[in-house]
Amino acid sequence: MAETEVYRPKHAVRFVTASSLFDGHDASINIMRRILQASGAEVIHLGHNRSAREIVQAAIQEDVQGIAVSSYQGGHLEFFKYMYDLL
Amino acid sequence: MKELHDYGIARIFSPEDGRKLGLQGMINMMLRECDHPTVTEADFAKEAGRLSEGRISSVARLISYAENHLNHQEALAALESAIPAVKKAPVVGITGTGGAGKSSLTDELIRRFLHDHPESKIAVLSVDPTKQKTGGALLGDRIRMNAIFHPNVFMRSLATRASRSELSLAIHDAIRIVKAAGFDLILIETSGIGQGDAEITNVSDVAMYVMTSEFGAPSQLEKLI
Repeated sequence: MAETEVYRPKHAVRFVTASSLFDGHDASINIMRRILQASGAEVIHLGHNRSAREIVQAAIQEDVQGIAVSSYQGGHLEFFKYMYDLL
Repeated sequence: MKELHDYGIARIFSPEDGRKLGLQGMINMMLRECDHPTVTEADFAKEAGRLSEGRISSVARLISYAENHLNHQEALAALESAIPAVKKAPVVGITGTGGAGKSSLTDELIRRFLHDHPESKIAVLSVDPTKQKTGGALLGDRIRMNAIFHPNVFMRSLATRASRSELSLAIHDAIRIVKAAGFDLILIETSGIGQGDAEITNVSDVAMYVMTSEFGAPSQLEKLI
């Protein structure tokens, strides 16, 4: 069943959000990050067209708990695996 | 999707998930999964020990530690004793109203500084306001920066959280941490009007006020930091 109650995290939760490389579709990640912000998370938004390296570097420097990436341009299998390996 | 989940990716959301969970449901799931501290008291000693090596992940985690333990006097005291006040790295503060061009200016400064001094290491601490109602924040300075992808640059975005000023309460600790990690230049960026209680002047050696060319009374400029 769809939840409408907002989950309020106990700890300070930080996220890096981005759209993957060569991808300019960022409507979805903008919506998701706004809900994340409204639910109490600190969001470091990197925008569109971000490479796996840039996202991972940001994630490490910003010491986030989660990375949220929107991928509409295809190639997500490789992209997500590559990010995972870089971390 | 299964392939990615098996590989270790926490979750790939499909349109089906969207229909079943709803938007807030998906966000809630993400938040639940991430609702844990990145560094605990147990890790603290280890990370503090790695600081002199200049390990970026240690710098990042120690700053988080400082942010999360602002109310714990013992933890703060331990942080202070573990991190010696070293190096005389200059701290430059950059403030100004939203959209004035602070991040763009910071970015350009970094690029040029590295061009002239390619061996130097630069740390950027960027502060953005927390929305008091939700507790969330959009730390939107990083998106503006292009020069920070250089291996000698470390950038960290901070939210103001409970502080009633334009800076995070952890900023002093954060500055100590990056100084101890061996950075040669520290830039602090935050939004502010530069008048009255500009806290940025307390933490920086040199403060800069960035503004657009349109303004009303020239006498306002006299009040600036």
